[in-house]
Amino acid sequence: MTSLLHQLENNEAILLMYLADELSAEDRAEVEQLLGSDGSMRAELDRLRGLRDGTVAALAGLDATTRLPVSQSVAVRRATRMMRQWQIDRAHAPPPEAPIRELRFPWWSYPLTTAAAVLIAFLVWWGNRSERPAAPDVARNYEHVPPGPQDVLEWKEEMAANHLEASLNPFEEEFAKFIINRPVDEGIARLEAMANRPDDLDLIFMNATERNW
Amino acid sequence: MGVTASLNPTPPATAAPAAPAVALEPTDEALIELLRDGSTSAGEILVKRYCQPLLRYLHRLVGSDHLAEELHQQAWVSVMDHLDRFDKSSVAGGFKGWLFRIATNKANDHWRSSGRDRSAKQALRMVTDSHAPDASHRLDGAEQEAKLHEAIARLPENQRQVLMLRYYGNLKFVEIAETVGCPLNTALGRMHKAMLKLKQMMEQ
Repeated sequence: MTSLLHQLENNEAILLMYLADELSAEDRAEVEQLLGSDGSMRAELDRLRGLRDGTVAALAGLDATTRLPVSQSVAVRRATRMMRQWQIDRAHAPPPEAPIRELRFPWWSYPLTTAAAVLIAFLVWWGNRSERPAAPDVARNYEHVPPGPQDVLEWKEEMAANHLEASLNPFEEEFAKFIINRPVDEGIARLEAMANRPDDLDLIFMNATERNW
Repeated sequence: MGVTASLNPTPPATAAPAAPAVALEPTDEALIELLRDGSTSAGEILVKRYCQPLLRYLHRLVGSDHLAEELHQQAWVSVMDHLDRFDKSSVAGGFKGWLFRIATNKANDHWRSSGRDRSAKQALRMVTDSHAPDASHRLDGAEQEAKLHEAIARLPENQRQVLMLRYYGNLKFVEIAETVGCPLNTALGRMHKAMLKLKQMMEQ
């Protein structure tokens, strides 16, 4: 039994618990020690004992002369009938609905998975977006100059069309328009005439010269 | 020493047994198990075991024969409803403590729904109607009885509950405190005040 004595706030509480025999042996011994040394506490104990005995006697006397609200047999019969009915009702009650199937994974895994899917989708989209078609590499285009004059013409037209389509460099566009249906020499001369813009011309000029336009 | 002896040196015939008188008598918990399995006879034994103290307790609380019987039945319905959830280890006072707590709650529900004043008036009317002695047959004993009825009816509700739980339920003070939902010191204080007031009113 745990010690209650020091939780009790006043002498009445201590002595009521002592009279009720609800204190541990250790607590009882402590109270008895107090009672042995404190006369007023002994008097208080006697007062409480008298009060308790008087109350008990009064209530017992009242019960002896007062009939029950209803006879015991009737009360038992009614309560038992009610219990029987309760059990019949339960037996005929529809079976409880099947419990809702619990989530297979922890609840937090679902929003987490959704967020991860959204992130992956975004990254894929971003990756595809950055892979733009590379600008036509002018130098690479001039690497395969065909040998025959007719082939050169077709090739030039193709190059011109590519430059026009790309439209990345105004000079390339201008040059492409110029060399179509013109001899290669004129093209080279044209390039030389436009030498005031060497930065723009360098690549084409070099390639064209190297391939004997 | 039993709990009964602490408040009641000579236990009244109506009080619940503090411990099984006969060793062969099934415990409350064994009966509860049988009742859970559908045995109505186990329920009947339980009802018989606590019928008198529970009816007396409810009668003292509400002061009406009809209402006490009604609450008695309601308490047992509630026992059946919550039987599967009853756990002896989690309830102070075991099944008896649980039963008296249910009964106390039923009485509190009644007071809340009908109003405290009406119940008090009803209790007083019961005292004057059925227990006040006829002038032609007035005896000292009957006078005292009527006075005590009136004194009990006049006790504050919380003090009356503690006193009756102690007397009819034979519950320990710790169990009473848990049953009515108050600290142990408060329960002891209410007990002391209830006894003092009864004594004072009886001496008037």
